[in-house]
Amino acid sequence: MSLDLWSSAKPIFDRVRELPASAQPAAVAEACQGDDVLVLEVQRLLDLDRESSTYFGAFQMDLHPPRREPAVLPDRIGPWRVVREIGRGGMGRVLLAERDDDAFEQQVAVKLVELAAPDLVWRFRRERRILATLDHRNVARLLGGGALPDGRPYVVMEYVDGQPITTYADAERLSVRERVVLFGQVCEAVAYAHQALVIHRDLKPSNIFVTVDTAGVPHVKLLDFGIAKLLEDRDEEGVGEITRTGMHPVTPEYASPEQFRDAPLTTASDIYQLGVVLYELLTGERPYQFETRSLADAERRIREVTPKRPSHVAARSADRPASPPPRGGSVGFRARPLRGDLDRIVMKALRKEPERRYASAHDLGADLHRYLNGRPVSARPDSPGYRLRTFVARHRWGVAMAGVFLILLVGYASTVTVQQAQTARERDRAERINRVLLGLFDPASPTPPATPGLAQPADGLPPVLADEANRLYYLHIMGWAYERAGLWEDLGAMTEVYYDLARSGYTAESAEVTHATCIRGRVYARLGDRAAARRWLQQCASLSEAVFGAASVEMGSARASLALVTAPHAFADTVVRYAPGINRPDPRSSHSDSTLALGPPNYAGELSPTTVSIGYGGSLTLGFSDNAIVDGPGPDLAVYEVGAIPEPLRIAISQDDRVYVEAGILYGGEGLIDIAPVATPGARYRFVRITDMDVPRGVTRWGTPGPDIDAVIALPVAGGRRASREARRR
Amino acid sequence: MPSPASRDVTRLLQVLRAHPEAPADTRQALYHHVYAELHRLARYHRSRWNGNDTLNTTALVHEAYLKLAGGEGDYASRGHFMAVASKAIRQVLYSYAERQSAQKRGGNVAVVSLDEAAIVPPERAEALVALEEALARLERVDPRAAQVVECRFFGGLDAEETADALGISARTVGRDWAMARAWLFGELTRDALEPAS
Repeated sequence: MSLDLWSSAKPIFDRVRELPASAQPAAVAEACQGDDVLVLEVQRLLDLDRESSTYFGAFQMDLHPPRREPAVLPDRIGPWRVVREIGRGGMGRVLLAERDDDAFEQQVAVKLVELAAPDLVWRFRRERRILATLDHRNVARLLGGGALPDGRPYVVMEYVDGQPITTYADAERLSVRERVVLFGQVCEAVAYAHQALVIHRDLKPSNIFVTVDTAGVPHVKLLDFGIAKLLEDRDEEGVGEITRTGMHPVTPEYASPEQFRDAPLTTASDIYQLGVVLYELLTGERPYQFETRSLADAERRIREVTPKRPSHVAARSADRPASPPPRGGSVGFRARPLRGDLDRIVMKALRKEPERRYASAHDLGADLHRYLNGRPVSARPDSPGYRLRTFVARHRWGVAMAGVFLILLVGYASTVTVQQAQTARERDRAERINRVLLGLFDPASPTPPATPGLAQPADGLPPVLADEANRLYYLHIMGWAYERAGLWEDLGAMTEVYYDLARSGYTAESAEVTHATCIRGRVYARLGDRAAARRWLQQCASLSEAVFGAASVEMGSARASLALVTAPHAFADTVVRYAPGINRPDPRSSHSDSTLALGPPNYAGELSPTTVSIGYGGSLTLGFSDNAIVDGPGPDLAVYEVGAIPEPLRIAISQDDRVYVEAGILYGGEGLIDIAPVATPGARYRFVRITDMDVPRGVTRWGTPGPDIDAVIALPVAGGRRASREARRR
Repeated sequence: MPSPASRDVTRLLQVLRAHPEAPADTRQALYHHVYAELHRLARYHRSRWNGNDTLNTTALVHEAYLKLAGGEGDYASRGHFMAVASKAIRQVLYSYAERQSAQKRGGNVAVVSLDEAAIVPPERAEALVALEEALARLERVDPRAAQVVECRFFGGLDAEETADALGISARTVGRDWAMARAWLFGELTRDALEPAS
């Protein structure tokens, strides 16, 4: 059927395929010159592109499984006598061998390649000269290479008697500081090789060994420098192809975003991999973990999702008694030193855009050195504006989504501002603020005003924001946007400024100060600062009562937020009690301060903030953090109960576990799944998020599988809340 | 001592090298030999192997090449051979897959021996049949893209080898393969994506 369009679609597909995903829709539209059927066909093929690569890659692996290794090892390889096998990798085996025809005995590691590009030997000769020049105490030397009589190529390397860096650090229970010092050696070695124009391409703990000398001093030894390149296909296109189809054993967890593209690799890819290793060394976890074997999924996440900050991961793993005790020290030892500088250093190395990472391994090492000496590091966090932009750009709907978000944002700004004052002058002001907001989405415009600049008006601030009242509106609006985008860290800093500005411009018992107080409390709750959250939410409740009245929706929100902090177990009750308000949002409260901060306790009894917010236009957003999965039937199965649902609805679960239930427009979160509105108004549902294809028997699947969540199902709550409580307790 | 088939193949490859646009029956004759040899090799290997591995078709093609063309073949001849062998592999796999899935459906067909059955991974048999049907349609519209699929997917050749085998650039191989792959995948999954009734 679609073959009719084959020849017209092919040149467009070829050209557009190379473009970044965000630029594709526009390019397709332009190339198709108004032929809507052709647009659909090209877009369809582009959508299939990545998945088809994974599919055929796996299919090919079934048809052409790797050659079986001969059971018997060769006795000799060149001048080396084989002692034993010491390792196995995707490419083949590693053998320990020694030279016994010499006066001195030398042990070497021989990498025997079972799966290789046909012209490996030829390329090996070409590259060997370059690799042999690498002479650094932290780089394992390449000693030689050749081919066995049966054609299998091999390389001979200095034998390193040691352990992978992560294993060593854990076994020796190294402190964060000691780990950073050790990692400094890694940076040095990589910087050295980069100067010699050799890229490693496959940096991971199993290639970064630590040996201990007779004096007990640890030394880093990098293995396999430049070997990955030798083993890859010659042309860059081939490299991408092989990586994509999973035929080349690059560990996806350590692959840089550009290794998934058909882009030539540069030293920046090594910098990224250094970031991954450092992340793992400091937290015990990798920035990305892939439960599924789908390479397309891995690729999407590495290219699109920002990993959690190391301190966040370290803190979380300390919270979880189910997981093994944190390696290398007492519980919680690691979160604190990571917060701040180390977080920023790691995140800079891990940036998606190569040009935004450290320019060299030397620079990364230098920043670590500065951290060790207590001097200011060069790494800065992404600006909020940048993050807001990338948040919007990450959406599957790309351009369209950005537009929707922008309309919401500006529409919201106008409403808020016009609500505050109806004069023509105020409306003019609203428009000027809107222009500032529009600037947020224009990467070419200067960085939008960051929060600190708003506390003390600085140069470069748009003139409209020089006015204190305008800054307050602006912060109010940005707070709304950040909350929507889940940029809680930014909100934390912002709400302080927001509160101070409100206090300086309005009386203590004003709507503005109340709003600022409540949002500050909720942000603290979301960030896990329970004491501060309780203090601010108590204040929020008393102000809401005084300003809006005891029966107001604001007061309901405040009480719910507070109940969460003071009595987290009241989670379900609170949702149910305040759910009726969801159906009848007060027009005055149709902004973010109608959020109910809710959350059940996690295993450690800590508050895990979860939000239910009544959004603009009466929509309902439920936000669940990871920890909200309380005693669910399994880690992959989270059972959420919500109260009565307003009618026509769309439900989406994002990758960050937020559930979006929207009465109107659908937005939010990463990797949204769109679900048909089939809920019965007034009925209560449990939403079950399943990351495994195992849909429980007897359950109707509800919704379309997405990249991260295979199924979303909604179950009518039989017998009310009790059923769900039981599920939770199980 | 080269077998008659091997002598034949060597001669045919020489003809193709000297006259790349040789009449179709030259290729057909070559195909015939290669197909027969691959079939024989597949059964032979299957009978010797134990365990659950399926046959490595890449290894098969290379073995057939060594067997039939010996050390005689130069690079161009090897390319011609690989292109033909990839087509033959496609046919070999299809015929096994077809029988296998027909048997699964309970059709009245010749019983496939266990050895033969394992030549095609059982869980892939139906997909291979569907793939053949889609590929045959694609072949009518874009024969070169279909050849690229044969070399890359069935023959297990990489981009360079495919380019050499078909006498086109690696870049063109990359393009044809990407587009064909996406389209074929769409055909293979079309039914699956439609909601189950």
